[in-house]
Amino acid sequence: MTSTKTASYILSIIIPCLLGFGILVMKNQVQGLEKQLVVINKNIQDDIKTIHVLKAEWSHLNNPARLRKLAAKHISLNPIQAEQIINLSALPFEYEANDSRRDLAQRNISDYADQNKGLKKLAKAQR
Amino acid sequence: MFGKLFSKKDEDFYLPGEEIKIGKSCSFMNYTCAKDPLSVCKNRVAFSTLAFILVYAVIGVRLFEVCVAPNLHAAEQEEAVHLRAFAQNPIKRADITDRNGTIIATSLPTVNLYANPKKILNPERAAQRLVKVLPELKYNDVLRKLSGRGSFVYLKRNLTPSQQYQINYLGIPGLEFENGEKRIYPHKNLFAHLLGSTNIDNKGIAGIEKAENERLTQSDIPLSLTIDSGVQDTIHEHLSAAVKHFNAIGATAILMDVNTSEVIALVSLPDYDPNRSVNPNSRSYFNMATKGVYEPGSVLKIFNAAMSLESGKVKVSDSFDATEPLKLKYNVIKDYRGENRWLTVSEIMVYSSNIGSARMALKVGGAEQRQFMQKMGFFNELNFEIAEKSKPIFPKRWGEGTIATVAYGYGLALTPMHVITAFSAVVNGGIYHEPTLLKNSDKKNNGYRVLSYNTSKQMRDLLRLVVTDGSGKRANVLGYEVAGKTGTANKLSANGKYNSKVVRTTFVSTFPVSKPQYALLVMMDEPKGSQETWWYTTAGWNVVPTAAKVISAIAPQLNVKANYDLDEARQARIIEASYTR
Repeated sequence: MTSTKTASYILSIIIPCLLGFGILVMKNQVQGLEKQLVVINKNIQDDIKTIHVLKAEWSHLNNPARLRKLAAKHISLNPIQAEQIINLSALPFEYEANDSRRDLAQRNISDYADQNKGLKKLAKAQR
Repeated sequence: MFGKLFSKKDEDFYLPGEEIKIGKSCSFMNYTCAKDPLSVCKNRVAFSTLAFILVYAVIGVRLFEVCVAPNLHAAEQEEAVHLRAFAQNPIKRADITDRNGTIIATSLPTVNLYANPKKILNPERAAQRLVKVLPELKYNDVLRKLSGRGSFVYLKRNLTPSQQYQINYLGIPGLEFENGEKRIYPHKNLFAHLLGSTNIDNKGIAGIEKAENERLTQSDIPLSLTIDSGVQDTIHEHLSAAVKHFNAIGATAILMDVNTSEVIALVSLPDYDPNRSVNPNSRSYFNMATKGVYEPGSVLKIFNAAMSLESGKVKVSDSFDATEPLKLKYNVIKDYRGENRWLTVSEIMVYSSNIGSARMALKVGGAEQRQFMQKMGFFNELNFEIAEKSKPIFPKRWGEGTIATVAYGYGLALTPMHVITAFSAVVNGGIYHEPTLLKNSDKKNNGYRVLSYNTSKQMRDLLRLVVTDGSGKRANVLGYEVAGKTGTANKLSANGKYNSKVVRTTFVSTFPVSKPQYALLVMMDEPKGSQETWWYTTAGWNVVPTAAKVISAIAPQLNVKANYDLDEARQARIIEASYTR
């Protein structure tokens, strides 16, 4: 009975002291964090403002009229005309004039075979 | 507890003369209470101590949880914790972007300078020094404001950062700054009539700024439009050149996606720079595209033909008598350059015969004509996201004369936006959509059918004929299969009569006609003839070539596939070009 009694006395003194200290530390931390938060918020707002201004400037610099002027000054490209755009299938390749695709492929293959034969002969002669 | 400590001593020892106290053992023997009062007291004290310890323990555990526990596993929890500093956007009014996200209207953070005259010690001196920093202010005005009675007066809005610094440097007490914002339009004139502008309090006073004012102030998410700034600029450039070339007093052009009625570009000339608050002449503030109502002239023959074909009373192969002017009760209808013979429906379109169109309309009848015009939205103000809109002007009595004149475009005044929206419905397969400027509008899903698919197809063929064989020849851009209809309307002069010398010309077209994607309307007010146009002022000589230039420039930008057969000479050129570097 006596030991519990003394223990409870000691606890009832130490716990409030500890808690008091703990709360003090926490309050300090919170204040510090709050100060940080205010600074961060202000920085974010400043950044948002800056980004906004930069975006506006970027849009201003991308003004089509200005780009056209710059393009005319610095690069020799003209607006594209309808007749410059054409389907790939409409392009008249050589084989379309004379041979079918199949014939062309056949000819290419035999060309390669001839080339290979020639190379083999060359290799033999070198040995 | 404390009772117990003292009670022990008292039991067996008494000092001489000491009063014998009534002990708990002897004197209350006959007391029948179960517990003696001292132990009750002890128990209570023990209980309350326990309660305190419990409460403190709870606080302690919570403290541990808040302060220590998070730091123990800080590394693990870093991703799980979603604590975020939330900063409010300092810019209150949302940006406006085009369909590709290019900013076309934005607000810049600025500061406003105001004064509290009660706090100003020496108004004369303060005013003198202020005027030095801000030369645009007048000394007398500033002095009057600074020596006034109130406690708040604006001196200047929207200071530049350097001006703010200089004023701060003056160190005059009573001068204060307030955060503000200023609306700016980086593209200046380009979107003048579309966007409109805001007043000094950042409230929309025209255009989209006014119509969508609530949306722009409620959320800071940018508002995206259906406008394409590149296409808008191309059209603006070509139209300005045309206005100069033909010496017109005004012009407008609208480009619309025929399948959704999204407006891709909208230009009205003359225009103004919304960044400047000075008041130019009022004419440049007028939006011809949505505010102006005009008699469209022969362009309305498109809708007359569509209505006649849709009614089933007229077929494409039918012929109508155009040998001589049509005499009605009050007026006589003549052709501009009459063929003086019977004309088929396609010939009526190609030669733009007033007599033929009037006869078609009379055959179908007024009730059906009215009903069709109603479906096309010709009697109501458009539901469109620009503040400047007009209701069409139409006659209340719909007699024989009205039926005939409306058939070829007089007596009914529409805004160009009405015309192109209805035109889109005619060529896109017969579905009418309300025009829209907002990219995520649900209007494009709410179309309704006004024409059958077959009628729409017949109309496309007729309109293509106008461009290949009729008045739209100069708009036959190679590869893009343009189809359209011209209109030249005489303007009313001051005495209320039509003046044949002063005209308003319109060309409304679509491309590519085999599968329409875009509709373009070009209108010019009072174009003048020149030697180049043989002194003609009809649509075929001014708006049609302008539209051709516009289409050949914007079609590649809009990714419209060019479609044409190559002739041999061009084949040879392409081969040559692809093998030489």
